[in-house]
Amino acid sequence: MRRPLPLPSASSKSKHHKRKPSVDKAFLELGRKHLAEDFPNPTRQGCPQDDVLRLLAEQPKKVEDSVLDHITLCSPCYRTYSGFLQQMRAKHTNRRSQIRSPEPPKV
Amino acid sequence: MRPRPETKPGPPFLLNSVDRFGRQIAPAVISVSMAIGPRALAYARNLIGDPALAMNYFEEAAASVSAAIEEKQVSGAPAIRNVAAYLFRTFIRMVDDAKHKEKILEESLKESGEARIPSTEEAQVEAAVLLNEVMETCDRASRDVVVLRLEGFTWKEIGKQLAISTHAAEARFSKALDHARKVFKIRRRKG
Repeated sequence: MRRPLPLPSASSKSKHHKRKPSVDKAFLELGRKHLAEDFPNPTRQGCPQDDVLRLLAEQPKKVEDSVLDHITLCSPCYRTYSGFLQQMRAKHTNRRSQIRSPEPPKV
Repeated sequence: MRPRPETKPGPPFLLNSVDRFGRQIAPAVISVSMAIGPRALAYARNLIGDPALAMNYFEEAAASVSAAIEEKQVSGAPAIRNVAAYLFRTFIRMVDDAKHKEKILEESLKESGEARIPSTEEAQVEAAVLLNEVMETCDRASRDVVVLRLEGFTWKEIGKQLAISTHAAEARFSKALDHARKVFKIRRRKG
């Protein structure tokens, strides 16, 4: 049996509905700036090794909570971690673009 | 691995064994305070500018943490796992609250007819307060989501990175922020 078509007024969702802006872009920018600049740690007290920060960027679940706690209270470590995250992101983007546009076959 | 840049040692850090209200600071907390004090004060100096005031807040935070440790011991509640991080966050909350109160006072002193336009500095303080609240009160997974979002990751990327759905990542983020806002409002009301 064919289903009856819905009346025009029955479809409450418009096709062009906008996503609500969940959080201010400014908040994200300021928040990032806060973590990256407001916690100077010139003597690098309690800082984990760079390898640990790299692991936190690549496989966060494998790293202890205390490391995440530390990077949110130490700007130099946060910046290092941020660098690792961006590296990882770039690597993933490159891989994806290579899959999408493979090299043309040689004739 | 990259060698760490060498830095000059700062002036000696001296802490009283009581805060300005006469509350004792436990010896265990003093030793942790000596370790994290210089960088905690550097944070406060950036925000409130006055090193003496920052020191007062730091001593207050240390006394509050000492009291919290004692209370937990008496009540048999689980002990604080990381005293340094606990002290740091207590101090940051005090400084953030002080800065926020200062802003409110400044605003109230301004001409009443003037339209209120939030300044960059004010927005910065609010973002810092909110973020510190999230980092202090939320669970690990939510903090992971927030940090990745701050770094400009999309919901899809965050979901993939943390092995959760896109929707879960988005929901965790908004829930964490809403929770932080609520806690912050309650704290402000309490004064």
